[in-house]
Amino acid sequence: MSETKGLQVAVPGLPVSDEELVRRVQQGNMEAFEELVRRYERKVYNITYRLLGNEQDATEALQDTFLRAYRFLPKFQFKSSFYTWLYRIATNVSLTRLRRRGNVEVVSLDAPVPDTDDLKFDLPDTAQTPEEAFAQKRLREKLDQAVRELPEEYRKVVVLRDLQGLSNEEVSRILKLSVPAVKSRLHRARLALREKLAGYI
Amino acid sequence: MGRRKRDKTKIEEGCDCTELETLAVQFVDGELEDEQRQRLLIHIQTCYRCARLVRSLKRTVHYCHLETGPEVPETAHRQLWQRLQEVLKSTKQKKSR
Repeated sequence: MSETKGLQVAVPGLPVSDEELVRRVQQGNMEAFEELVRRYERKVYNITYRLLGNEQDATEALQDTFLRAYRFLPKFQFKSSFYTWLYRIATNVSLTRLRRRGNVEVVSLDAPVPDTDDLKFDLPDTAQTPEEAFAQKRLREKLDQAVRELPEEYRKVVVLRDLQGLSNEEVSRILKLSVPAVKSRLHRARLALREKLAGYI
Repeated sequence: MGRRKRDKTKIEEGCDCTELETLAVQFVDGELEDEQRQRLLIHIQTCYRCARLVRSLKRTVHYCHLETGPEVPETAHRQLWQRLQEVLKSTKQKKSR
């Protein structure tokens, strides 16, 4: 990975803002772009992985997202935050790839699910025993699977809103949906996830 | 507007669970008005099914928020930076011409 030398902080002690880095990229500073990649690499990977459901596709979508961002950054007009714009690219790149793949596994939200009241796994704990770590791994796999099985329209909302922690307004801008539409899809998605994770959470 | 089909297995006596589901999602997001919030809280004191719905929904959303997601695998990270370096290098070369 490259060094960050040449990146001066705007205010001593404070990291340079995304917007400032974007301005520098637009002025031809490529190290500024590398810094943006370092900041968002994991978050973008999480979007592509959650939407695509496998490492190979997620890896390629990760590359496509940043290469596309680099190509179009000169035209970025600061009408939204950089990350909203970047996440929109990541979402679009992933969904295009998903549709091209054409083998999307979609499970009906009305399909019967096991109904159990057992609480076999607890919420994450920082000091985990091996058993807890195993349970945590199982839970993560179960969540991955549950998200993967959601219909696309619900999956993208829950990935951005609940797994990436964006606000309803940010999700509405990324997906070009109204806020009520985001809330409505999120509502359905959460109820479906809750059913799929029953017995694990 | 057509009537929504009810899932009889989810209906507790005296409780319209269809409406409750909507309230539960809003409750988890902290978006309920005081009056609705009170109504929900009072209701789940006596309705086992609805209490379970609210509890598991809250835990699901809470878990999603806590879940940090996977690390970028080493291969993915390496491939990304390799491609980036190629593109950045080519930009530099174009500029220097």
